[in-house]
Amino acid sequence: MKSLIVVLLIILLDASGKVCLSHGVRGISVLTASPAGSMPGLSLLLNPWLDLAILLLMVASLLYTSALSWLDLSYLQPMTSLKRVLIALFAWSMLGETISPTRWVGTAIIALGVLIVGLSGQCSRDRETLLVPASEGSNPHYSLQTRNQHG
Amino acid sequence: MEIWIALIALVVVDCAANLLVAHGMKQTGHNKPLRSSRLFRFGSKLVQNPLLWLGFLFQSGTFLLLLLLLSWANLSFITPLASSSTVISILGARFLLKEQVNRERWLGTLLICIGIVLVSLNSAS
Repeated sequence: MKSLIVVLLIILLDASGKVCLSHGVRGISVLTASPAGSMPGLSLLLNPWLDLAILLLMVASLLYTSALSWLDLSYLQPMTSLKRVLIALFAWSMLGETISPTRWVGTAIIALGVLIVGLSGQCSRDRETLLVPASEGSNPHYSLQTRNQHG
Repeated sequence: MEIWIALIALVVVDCAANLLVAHGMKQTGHNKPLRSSRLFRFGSKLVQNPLLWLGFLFQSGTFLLLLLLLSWANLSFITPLASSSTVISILGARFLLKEQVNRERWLGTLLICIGIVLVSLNSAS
């Protein structure tokens, strides 16, 4: 349950961060953002939308990194791809971006794929594997331990 | 043309970051989420892992490339295409990190690929 909450939190923070980022850099060419004579990138740093985006994305990234210590990359990575659906919804509703029906269908199929991967992960949680450092196990990469309940 | 080059670079750098961080975190060992008692010891182990530093460097590169791309194109165009990094990361997890990837995960991965192609075709037209 905790894992699912962390995954949902990562999705929400990342999607919100990306939307803030897009709003912040809209109409700005990043490579020529600073006027001549000023400190490079200063105008970008002083943009509150960008600051908020960086904060949200940093927290999302820290949570993601932490989650990788007890979840498979092949589970966590597709699961967090659900953020793309949220991003499409945010981009359409908040940023006013036009999204064609085909792009909606593509995004929906991506979401369906992510859902299948997520459900496959849920089913195998009974035999959830925990990874411990190589020095503590016999496997040259990681040693696998099984447990019955999920934290 | 620049957009596509930057997108490919974004996918490659993102995948490398994912694999490096995942490998580094699993080398460091298991830690339950949000548990403060072992946080300091766990943190010091993380800081000493060079793979994680390299992974974070690549993550920074991903962020900069994303920033650059967002100034050129719509968010709803970039993010679905960048999601191909999910598929490549799973391949990396299977063959480099030796994770067990079952049939459902591969099916989900295939669907993600189809979704990406649909979004790309629509964007090209």
